[in-house]
Amino acid sequence: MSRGRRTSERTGSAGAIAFTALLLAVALGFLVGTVGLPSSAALVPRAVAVPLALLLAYRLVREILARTRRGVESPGPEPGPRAGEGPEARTGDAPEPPDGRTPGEEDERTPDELGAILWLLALPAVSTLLGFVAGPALYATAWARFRAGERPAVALAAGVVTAAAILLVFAGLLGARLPQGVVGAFL
Amino acid sequence: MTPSILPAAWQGLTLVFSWPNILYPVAGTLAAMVVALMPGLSGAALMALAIPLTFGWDPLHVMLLYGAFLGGATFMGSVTAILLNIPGTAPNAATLIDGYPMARQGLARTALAASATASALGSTFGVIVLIALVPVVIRILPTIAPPEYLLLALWGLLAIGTIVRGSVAKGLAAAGLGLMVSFIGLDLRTAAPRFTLGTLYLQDGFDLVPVFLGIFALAEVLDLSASRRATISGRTRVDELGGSAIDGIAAVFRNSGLFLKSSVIGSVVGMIPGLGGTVAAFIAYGEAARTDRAGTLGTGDIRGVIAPEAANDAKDGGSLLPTLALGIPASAGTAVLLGVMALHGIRPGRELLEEGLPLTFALIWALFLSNWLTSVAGLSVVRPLSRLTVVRTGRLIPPIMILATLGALAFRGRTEDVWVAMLFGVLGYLMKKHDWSRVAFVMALVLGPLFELNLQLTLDLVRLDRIDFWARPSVLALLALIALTTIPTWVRRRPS
Amino acid sequence: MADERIGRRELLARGAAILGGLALGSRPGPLRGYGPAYRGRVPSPGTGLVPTGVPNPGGGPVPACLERARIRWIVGWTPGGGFDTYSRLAQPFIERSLDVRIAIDNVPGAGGLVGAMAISRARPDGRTLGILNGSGFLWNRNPETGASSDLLSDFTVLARVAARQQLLVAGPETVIGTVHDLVALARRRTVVAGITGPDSSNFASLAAVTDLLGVPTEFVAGYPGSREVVLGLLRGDFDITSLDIETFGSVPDLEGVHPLLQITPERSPDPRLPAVPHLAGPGGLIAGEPELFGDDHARARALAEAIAAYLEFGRLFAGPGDMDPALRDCVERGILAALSEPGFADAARRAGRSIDVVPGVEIRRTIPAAREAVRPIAPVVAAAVRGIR
Repeated sequence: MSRGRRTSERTGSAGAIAFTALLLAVALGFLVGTVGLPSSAALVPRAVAVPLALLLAYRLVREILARTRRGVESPGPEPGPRAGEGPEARTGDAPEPPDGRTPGEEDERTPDELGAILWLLALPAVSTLLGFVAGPALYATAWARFRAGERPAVALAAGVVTAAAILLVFAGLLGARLPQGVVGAFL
Repeated sequence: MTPSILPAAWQGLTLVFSWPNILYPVAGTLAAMVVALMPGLSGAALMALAIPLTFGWDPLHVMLLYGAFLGGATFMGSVTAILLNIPGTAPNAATLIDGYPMARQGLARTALAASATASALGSTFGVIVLIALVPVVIRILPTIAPPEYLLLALWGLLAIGTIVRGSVAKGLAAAGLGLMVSFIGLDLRTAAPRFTLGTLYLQDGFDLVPVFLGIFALAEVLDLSASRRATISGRTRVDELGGSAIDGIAAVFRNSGLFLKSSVIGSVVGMIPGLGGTVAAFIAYGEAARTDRAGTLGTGDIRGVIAPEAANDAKDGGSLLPTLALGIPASAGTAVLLGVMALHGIRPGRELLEEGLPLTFALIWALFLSNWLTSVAGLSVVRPLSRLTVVRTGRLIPPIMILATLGALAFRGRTEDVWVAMLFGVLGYLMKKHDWSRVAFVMALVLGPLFELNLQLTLDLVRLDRIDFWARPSVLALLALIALTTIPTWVRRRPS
Repeated sequence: MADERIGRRELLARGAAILGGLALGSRPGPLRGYGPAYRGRVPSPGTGLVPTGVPNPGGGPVPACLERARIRWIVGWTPGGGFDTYSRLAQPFIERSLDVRIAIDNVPGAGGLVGAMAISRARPDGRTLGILNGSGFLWNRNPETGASSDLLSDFTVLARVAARQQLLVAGPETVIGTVHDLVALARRRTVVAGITGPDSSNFASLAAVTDLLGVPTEFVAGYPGSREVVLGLLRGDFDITSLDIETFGSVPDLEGVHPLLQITPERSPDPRLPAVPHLAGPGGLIAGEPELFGDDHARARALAEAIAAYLEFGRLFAGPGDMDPALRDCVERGILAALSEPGFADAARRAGRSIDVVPGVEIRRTIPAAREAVRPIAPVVAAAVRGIR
C-alpha cells in the first residue's frame, strides 16, 4: 500500500529539525503543565504527553541523523519547497503536482516565506489598530499595490470594495459586531 | 409508537408543499446558503438571528423555516472547502482533504458536482432511515452510555491510521498534539484549569472554528503567497480546466457502495447525541481511506469528496431524532432549534412524536427540501464557481484572508479568535511544509474531549460497579467492528 | 420562636416590597407566575426576598429614559439555552415597555463569565444590558485568573426574572422512593450521584443536601448537559441527581424517576409534586423532621438557608455598575412592567419556564445578606470537589 511510502526528501532539513524541536518543546511544556493538576484531571493528558514527547524526540533524532548523513554523503543545497508548488506531493494532506514534476526535486528556498507570514499577521494587526472595516480595507489596498503590483487606482478600488462588502454583508446583513479598533475607540 | 408514521409523513409533505407554506423553506434555504459561504458563520448563528422575526408566527412556519436553516448550510460549506480550502463548517474539513487538491488539479467542477450529488442523495438516505427507524431508535437511544461513546471515539482516533500518508510516527505525533490541544481549558469533571496560562479565553479551550480557519484556510493562503503559485488550479483559462458536472454526478453512482456505506455511517452517527457532523464526516472519510487500495485518497481522489459529503448530509435527518425525542441537541444548530421550539411552546418528546408527528415531519421534509435545493442550486453554478480556480492568486488571496479573518471574528465576536486563527495558520503552513498531517491533528482535536470524558465516566462507572463493561453486547460489537476495520490497516503500516 | 422571627421578617419584607413598588410608580399586586413558579411566596430565610408582581396592566406611561435607543443585550451562553430563552421571551415586552430596540448578543465562554464581564465593562449609559447567573456570583469565581465579579459594584441588578428551583431525584433502577429511603440506603452503601460538573449550581445544591442528610456520596462527573444527566439516571448509571424543576418538567418520559425533595424554601404548586417535601422554610423538612439532619440543628438550618439563598438569586437582568440612579430606576421600572405583563407570563409558561419576578432594588438590598447566608455552602462544595479530583 503506497500510503506507507517514505517521505525522506525533506527529512533532515534545518527547517524540519527546527519545527520538530519546536513541537517537542510544546509537548514538554504540556507535560510540565500537568504537574499540580488534580490526579484525575492529569491522568489522560499525561498518558498522551509522555509517549508524544518520546515520539517527537525519536523524530528529532531521525531528522538530525538524516541531516548528518546528508552532510556526509553530498553537501548541497537545502531541500526546500518547489517554486510554484510547495511540498504538497510529499505530505499526508496534499496532491501530486499537476505539472508532473517528480518528488525529490530540490529547489531554492523561496525568500517570500517570511514575507508571506508577515503579510498574514499584518491583517489582524492593522485591523486591531484601525478596526475591522478600515483595517481590512487598508490592507486590501496595500496588498494590491505592494504585493500584487496593481496600479494605484485598482488598489484603491480594492480597498473601497472591501470596505463596502464588509459593511454590507457582515455588519448590515448579518449584524456582526465589528470592533472599531484602538484608534477608533480613542476617537 | 403507532403505525401512523406513513400517514403523518405524507401529511407533513403536503404541509411543506402547499401555498404559501413553501415560501418558508425556500426563503430559509436561500438565507442558509448565503450564510454558509461565510466561514465562521454557522447555521446556528443565522438561526439565532432569525428568532426575533418569528415572534407571533404559526409554529408550522417556524418549523419549516428552521428545518431549511438546518439543511441549507451543509453543502454550501463544501463549496468554499473545495475551491478555497476554507471549510464553511467544521464537517467540511473532511471534504477539503481531497476536494481542494482536485481544484488544484483543475477538477473543481467534478468535485463540486460530486459534492452536490452526494449531499442530496445522502440526505435522502438519511430521511428514509429516519422514517424507517424512528420507533426502534427512540428505544435504543437512551441506552447508549459512556462505554459506547468511548469506543466510538476510539474508532475515530484509530481511523487516523488510515488517513495518514507518509510517516506513521509523524501521523501519530500530529494526532497526539491534537489531543493535547483538545485538553486545553477547564476540565469538565473537576473544573480544574488545564494549560490555560491563567487566561479567561483558554478556559473554554480552542474552539474548532478559528482552528479550522487557520490550519486549513490561512495555511493554504500562506502557501499560495509564499510559493507565488499563479492560480489555484495552475491554469489561467477556464477552458483549460478539466472535469465536468456530469463527471461528478456519475462518480457518485460509480462509487455507489462507498456512498451507501458513508450514508449509513452518517445516519447512525447523526442519531447519537453529541457526535455531530464532524465526527460523521471524518469517520466516513477514514472508512473510505481504509478501503483505498490504490493509495490515492488524499491526493485529489473523488471518493474523498463523496464519502464525507454523503455522511455529513445523511446525518441531518438522524440528528433530529435525539433532539425531537429526548430534547438533547445534536449540534449548535439543533440547540438553537430547541430554544426556538420552546419559545413557540413546542416541547420535544412523546407528544411531539405522536400527536405532533405531522409537524415533526414538516420539519424533516423542510430539511430534506433544503438539502436538495442547495444541491440543485450548487450544480447550476458549478461552472461559474470553478472560475475562481483560474483567478490570479494575487487577487484571490486578500479576499480569502479577509473572509477567514472576519469569519473567525464573527463566530463569537472575540478578537482573540482572530489571533488564534493566525497562530494555527502559521502552524498549519509549517505542518504542511514539513509533512505533518493536519488531518490527524484536527481529527484528534475533535475527538479528544469525547474520548477523555467518556473514558473517565466509564472508569468511574466500572469502579463503582454501576456497569459491567465486558458484559455489554454493544461494547463487544463495537470492539469487533473496530478490530475488523482498523487493525489490518495498522498491521500493514510500518513506521517509516 | 423561629417561626415568629420569620413571620415578622415576612411582614417587614412585604412592607418594603409594597413601599418599593409604590416608589417605583406601580401598584403591588398578586404574583404572576406560572408552571412551577410559586404563588404567594414567602421570603427565603436567607435573603428576605419577596417576589412581587408589579403589574402595569394596560401600560402606565412608558419610561422615557431610552427613547428608541438600540440596546445590546448580552447573553453569556449559546443560543437555545435557558438564559438565552429567558432573554428572548422578555425581549418584545421590554422593547415595548421601554420603547427601545434590543439586539441579543450571545457572548459565550467560561460558564457565562465572558458575557458577564462584557456587561460590567460596558458604558453605564443603559445601552448595554444582559442576563446573569446570580447564584454563581455569590462567591468568588475564577481565583486562577483573578477575575472576580462583584454583584454590587460591577453590575447594576435590575430585576430577577426567575429563581433556581431544584429537585433531588432518584432513578428508576433504585429502591429510593423517599428521602428516608435515601438515608436508609446510605447506611448500607455509598450513594452514587451524577452531575455535569462542579461548576454547576446543581452540584452545589446536591453536595450541600447530601451533606445535610449525612449521606456519603460519590459523584460521577462529566455528563455534557442536564439532559444527558437525566439519561444517565434513567439508565441506572447512578442513584440520585439534582435537577432544575423546569428540566424535570421539560424532559420527556421521566417514568420511574422518583422526586425526593424540593430544594426550595417552600412547596411548589406543581401538580406532579404534591407529596414531595421541601427543604427549608415553613413546613419544610428542616423544621418538621430535624432528626433527619443530624444532631447539629443550628448547622443544618444554616446550611439549608444557605442553599435557599444560593438558589434564590437565580437569573438576573442587569447592566454595568455605576449606572446613574435616575437612569437605573427608569430602566428598572420598564423591565418590571414588561415582566409583569400577562403575555410574558403566558409565553414563559408555554416555553416551560418558571418566572419569579423581583425588583432590582430588592435584589441589591439583599446581596450582602445573601453573601453571608451562602457561606456555609462553600466548604461543603470544596470537600465534594476534592472527592472528584
